[in-house]
Amino acid sequence: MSTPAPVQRDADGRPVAGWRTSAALSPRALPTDTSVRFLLLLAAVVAASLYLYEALWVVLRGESFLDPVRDCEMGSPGAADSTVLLGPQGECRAGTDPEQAAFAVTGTVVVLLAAYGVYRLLPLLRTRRSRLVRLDQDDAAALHEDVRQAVADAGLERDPEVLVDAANPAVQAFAYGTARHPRLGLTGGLVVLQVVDPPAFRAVLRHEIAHLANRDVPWTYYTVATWWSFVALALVPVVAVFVVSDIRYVLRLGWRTLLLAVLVLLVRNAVLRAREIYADARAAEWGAGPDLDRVLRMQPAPRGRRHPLLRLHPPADARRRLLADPDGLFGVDGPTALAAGLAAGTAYATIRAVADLALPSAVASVGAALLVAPLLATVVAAGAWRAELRSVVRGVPVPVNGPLTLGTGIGLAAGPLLSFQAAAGGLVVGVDGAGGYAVWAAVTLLSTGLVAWYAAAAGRLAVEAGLRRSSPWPLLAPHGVAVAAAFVVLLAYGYAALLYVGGAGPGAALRARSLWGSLPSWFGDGGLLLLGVAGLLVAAPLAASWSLRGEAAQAGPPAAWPWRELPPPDLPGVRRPTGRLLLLGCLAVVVMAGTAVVGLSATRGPERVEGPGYTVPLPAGWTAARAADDVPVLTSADGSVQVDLRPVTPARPATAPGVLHVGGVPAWSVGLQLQGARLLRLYDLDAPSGPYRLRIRGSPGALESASDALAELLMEVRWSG
Amino acid sequence: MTAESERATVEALARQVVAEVSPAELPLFRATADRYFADPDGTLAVRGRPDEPLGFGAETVVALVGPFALDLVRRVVGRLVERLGDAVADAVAERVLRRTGAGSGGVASAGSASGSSGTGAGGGDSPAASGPDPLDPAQLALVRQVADEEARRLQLPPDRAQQLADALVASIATRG
Repeated sequence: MSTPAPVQRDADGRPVAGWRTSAALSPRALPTDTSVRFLLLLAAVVAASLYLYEALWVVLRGESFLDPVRDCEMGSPGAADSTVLLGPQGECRAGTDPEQAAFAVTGTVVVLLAAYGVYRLLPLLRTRRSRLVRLDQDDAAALHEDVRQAVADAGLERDPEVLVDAANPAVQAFAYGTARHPRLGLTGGLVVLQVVDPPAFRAVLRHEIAHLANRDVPWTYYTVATWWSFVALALVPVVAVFVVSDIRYVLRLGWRTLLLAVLVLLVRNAVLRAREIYADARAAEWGAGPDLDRVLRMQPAPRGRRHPLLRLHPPADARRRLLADPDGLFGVDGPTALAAGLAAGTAYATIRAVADLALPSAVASVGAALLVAPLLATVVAAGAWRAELRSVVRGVPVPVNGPLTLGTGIGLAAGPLLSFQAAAGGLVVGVDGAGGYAVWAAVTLLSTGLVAWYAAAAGRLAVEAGLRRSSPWPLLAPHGVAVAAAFVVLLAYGYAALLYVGGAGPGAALRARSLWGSLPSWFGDGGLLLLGVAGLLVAAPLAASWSLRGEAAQAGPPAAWPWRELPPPDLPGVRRPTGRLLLLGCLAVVVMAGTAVVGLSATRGPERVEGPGYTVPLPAGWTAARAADDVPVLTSADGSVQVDLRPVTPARPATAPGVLHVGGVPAWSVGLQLQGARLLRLYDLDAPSGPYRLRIRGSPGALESASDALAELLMEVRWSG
Repeated sequence: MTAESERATVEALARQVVAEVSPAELPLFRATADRYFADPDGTLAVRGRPDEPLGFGAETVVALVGPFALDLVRRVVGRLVERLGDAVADAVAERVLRRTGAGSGGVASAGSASGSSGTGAGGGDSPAASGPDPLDPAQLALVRQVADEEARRLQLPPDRAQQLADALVASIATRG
C-alpha cells in the first residue's frame, strides 16, 4: 500500500482532490480489460491465419495467374514500346488481388468455424477424460441444495450441470462447458468437504459459480480452441507446403509462431489469474468472503518449480490480500499493456495488408484500425479509469502514464516486426536499418505516450465527475470512444507516417522534403475523420468539466457505484481541474490546427502535378502526371503509377553488383515510402541488370501525391551493396 | 458365485466399510463403484490435475477410501471363493445382500438359491434369521487373515488400511 498523501482542503475547509476514505472499492465498480485481452489474442491469431492463407494462395493459385497477367500486359498498347511499358495493367490484375483476399478471408473463417467446433467438443472431451458423472439426487441431496441456492443467488441465466470426478481425491472444483451449456466439475475430495465443512464447500462452489457469472468459461475455452484450430488448419498446412519450397521462409515463420504461441500462453495465463481474483471478489459479494479466506489460508504453497507466469492461479496469499483490500485491482499493469500493444500491432499490420489487396488503401488502413483500435483502447481506458478512481478516492498518485506509454508503445512498435506479414518482408522492412527503425519506434512510443497521457488526464476528469453521478457512464463512454478514435488515427495514419519519417538512411532528407508535399494525400481523405476525432477529444473532457461546475463540484449525494459496502462515504468538494483542462484544450487545438492545415493543403489541387513535360505516346487511361529530371512518372485512373528508371540509373558496377536503391531505399521497397501506395511490380527489362521499371498502385486519392513523392525519390538512384 | 452376484456383494460390503470408516464419502459411493468396476486400476490411480483452468483448490487432497474399500472387498471376496468355495461365498453374499436390502432383485435370488442349500438355517425373527448360517469361527479367522493380507497391499497408510480391514471383517461377521 502506498503512503496516503495529506488531504488538501479548499477555502471552506472541505477536502478536495486529496479525498481519502477507508471504505473498500467494489472490484466490479468499473469494467476490467480481461475479456478484451482475450479478444486481442483472438485478433492476433485471426491476423496470423489471414496472412498464412494469403501465402498459401500464392502457392496454390499464384502461378495460374502469372501467365495470363503477363500476356495481358504484353498485349497492351504500350507493350511494343521498349521505353515505356504501358497499358491498363490494373485491369489485367483486377481478378487477382480480390481472389487472394477472398481466399485468405475464407480460410480464416474456416479456422474460426473449426474453432467453434473444437469449443463445443472440449467439454465433452473433458467430461470423458475425467469420467465425470452426474451425482444422484438421493445420494447427495444436501450438495444439490447448496448448488441450487448458489445458482439462485448468482441469478445465472442457465443452471450449470453438476458433474463429479468421484475417485479424484483433490479438493477441487472447475467451471467448464460452453456459454449455452455451462458445467461444474467437482472432485471427490470436494464432495467430502461438503459433508465435513459445508461453509468451506459453499465458498468454493460460489467461486466457481462466479466464474460462470463472469462469463469466464466461453472466453477461456474459445481462445484455447482458436489456437489449436489455427495450428491445425493454418499453420501446419502452410509450413508443410513451404518446407519443401522455401525453408528460409519457414524459419522466419517459425520464430514468429513461437513468439505468438508464447504471447497467447502468457496472456491467457495472466488473464486467467486475473479472472480468479475477480471470481473471488464476486463470491465475496455473495457472502462467501470469510470462508473463502479460510479455504485459501488452508491452501498449501504451490508445489513444483513452475514459474508464476506459467501458473493459472495467483498465489493464495495474494488472493487473500485482494479479497480483504481490492485496491490492488485498481491500477495499470505494464506487462498487460505490453501484451495488448503487441497483439494490436501484430493484428493491425497483417489485417491491413490483407485488406489492402481488395480495398482502396485508405479504406483498408482505416478499416483495419477500426477493428483493432477499440480493443486496444478498452485496455488503455479501462486501466486509466480504474487507476484514476483509486487515485481520487485514496488521495494517492497511481502510476498510469508510464506503464501505459511504455507497455502499449513498445508493444505497438514491436508488433509489426513480430507479425507474420513481416516474415515475407513487409511493413517496417522499408526502414533503413536499425537506426531508422529506432527512430520509428521512438516516434511511435512518443505518439502512444500522447494518447496514454490523454487517456489518463481526461479519464481522471471523467471519474471525478462520475463520482457525483449515480452512473459514471454518461461521462466514461465518450472518453472511451475518444481514446478509441485516437488509436484509430494513430494506427491508420500514424504507422505509415511514422514509418516514412523514420527512414533515417541516405534517403531521409529526400523523404523529409517530400513529406510536406504528400501530406494532403495522407490526410486529405481522412480530414473529416480527423476533425471528428479532434472534436471527440475536446468534447469528452469538456463534458466532464462541465459536470463539475458550480454546486455540482461541492459535496453532494454519495454515489454508490464505486463501493463494495453501503452506505457509501460522503463526497468531498472538488476544485475544477483548470490546469489539466487547459492542457487538454491545447492538445485539441494542436490537433485541430493540424487538421486545418492538412485540409488547406489538400485543396491545393492539380497544380501540384504540373511540371516540365515528358512526352511519351500514352494509351487511353494513362496520363503524364509528373515528370522531373527526364523521368517519366505516369499515372492511370486505376490508381497505378509507372516509372521508367533508365534515364536516371547509373551504369551497374560490374565488379560490385548491388541492389538498385531509389531515394535511399531498395527499389523493391519504394512502395513503402509512398503513403497509400504499394509496389505492384518491378520490371526487369534488361535482365539481369536489375529492375529498371517500377509500377506502383495506390488509391485514386493518393495517386497524385504518390507520383509527386516518387519524383522526389527519383532524385537519388544508385546501386548499393 | 455369478459375476453379478459378486459385484453386488462387493458393493454392499464396501458401502458398509465406507460408512464405517469415512461416512462423508457415502454421497460418492455409487459413482465411485460404477467407475471402479469399469476400470479398477485407473480408479485407484486418479490424481488431481494441477492448476486446472478456472479451477479452485488444486493443491489440497483428501484420502478417499471408497476406491480402496471396493478394491479390498473385491480381492477378499475373490480369495474367499477360492479358499472356501462358492457355497460359503454365496451364503455370505446372501446374508450381506439381505441385510443391506441390495439383493431384492435377481442377485438376491441367485444368492438365496445357493444359500438355501448351504450350511443350514439360523434362528431368530430377523430377515437374516431365515437365511444361511453365519460363518463359523474358523471361517471368520480366515476372513480376518485374508483381509489383513490384502489390506497391506493397498496404497494407503497402514493404519488407514487396517481400519478398512477391520470394518470389512466386522461387516462380514455381523449377523444381520
